[in-house]
Amino acid sequence: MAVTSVSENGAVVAPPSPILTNLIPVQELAPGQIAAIKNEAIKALLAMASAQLQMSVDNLVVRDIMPYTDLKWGTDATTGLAKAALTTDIWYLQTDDSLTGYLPLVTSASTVMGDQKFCAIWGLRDARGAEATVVAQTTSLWKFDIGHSIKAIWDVSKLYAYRYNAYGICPSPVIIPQNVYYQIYGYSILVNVMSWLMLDGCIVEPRGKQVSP
Amino acid sequence: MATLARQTQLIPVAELAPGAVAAIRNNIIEQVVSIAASELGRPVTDLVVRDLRPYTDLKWGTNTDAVQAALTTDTWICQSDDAKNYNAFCNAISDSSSANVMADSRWIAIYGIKDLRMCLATAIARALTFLRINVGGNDRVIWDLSVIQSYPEAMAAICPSAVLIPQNVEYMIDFYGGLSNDGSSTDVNSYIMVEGVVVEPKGKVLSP
Repeated sequence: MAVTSVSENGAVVAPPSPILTNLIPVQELAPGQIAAIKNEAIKALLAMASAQLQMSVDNLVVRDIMPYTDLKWGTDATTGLAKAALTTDIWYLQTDDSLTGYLPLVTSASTVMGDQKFCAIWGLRDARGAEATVVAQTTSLWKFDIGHSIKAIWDVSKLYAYRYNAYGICPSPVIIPQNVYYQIYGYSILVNVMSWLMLDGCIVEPRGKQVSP
Repeated sequence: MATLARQTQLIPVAELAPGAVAAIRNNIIEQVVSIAASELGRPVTDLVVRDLRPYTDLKWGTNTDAVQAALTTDTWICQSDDAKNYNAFCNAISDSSSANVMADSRWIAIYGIKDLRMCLATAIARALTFLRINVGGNDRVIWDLSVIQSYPEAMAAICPSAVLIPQNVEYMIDFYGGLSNDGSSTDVNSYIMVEGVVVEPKGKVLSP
């Protein structure tokens, strides 16, 4: 936000700044900003994983998030957002047919990130505009609880001003380190309708754990 | 050198140069953070910038002067009461029991509007034509929502000067219909939302 300065030893010093947790539609970012935010998030996650695992970054891989395998997305159908618990790697779910307000996505038995697995979430996409019949908005806010602290509350509504490109990104990613508690909540405003929302982010883990490039 | 006039007009994002929206937003956030840090006597690193929660932070759509049924949840979608706000500004924020006073240790900057109605299977008619924001007893902006009607694929507009609602200050948002009064209970949903940020200390709501 502010101009950087140069310290006595010549190093560039970033000014102190607040934590920006707001979601920004990609149409409202300067060219190159999406890539810059993603690259910074990946760099920070790699540094964290490398330090905690005592492994060089050469031994780590960055890959897409698998919603069920990595996050247990949509598995809470008792008190959660999903009407029926998901058991496969898909983001799309039917919202509960009676509950509204903040509803958890992850079943309480699975709310700890896997060992040697680090997750960064920096945005939200809504795929409903690409369906033959576009359904109405199902959720308004998304809340991320990591280690029993609320890290971000995103208002997904702002993405819908852009009819065909509902994608928002946050300057400060939500990080879920290995073996740490997490829960994701969607604020349901419409019951019993398909939700086409998905998270945008990545997983960092050792080579060979899931993929061996 | 002439004094620059205060620019309170609403500009569709489709009419701004690439990067201009980000520049306006970043400039506004920097100013609000600076004000909050100064008033709280805390470093900016102790502050968090987050999205607005329509009901919890603003009490959006809680006054039945402007809407059919007062909202009680965090959504922007409300039913505009055109019998009341047709050709008239009507309060959209509840003013009972000082509900329209900004919370302690919380600053809100509003710098634009969005219309979500084109993201429906069948886009409905618009419900509002103007939005007025009053802070501390003064009207700060009157925005013509019609400017975004030319851009159905990007119904967002931004204002170079943000409306700042400081902590513990009274505020009001007014809806203006101006399109029709159908005289029945089949009022049109309003999909208008305001764009802005909340600045507050870490730990008040978020602990990133």
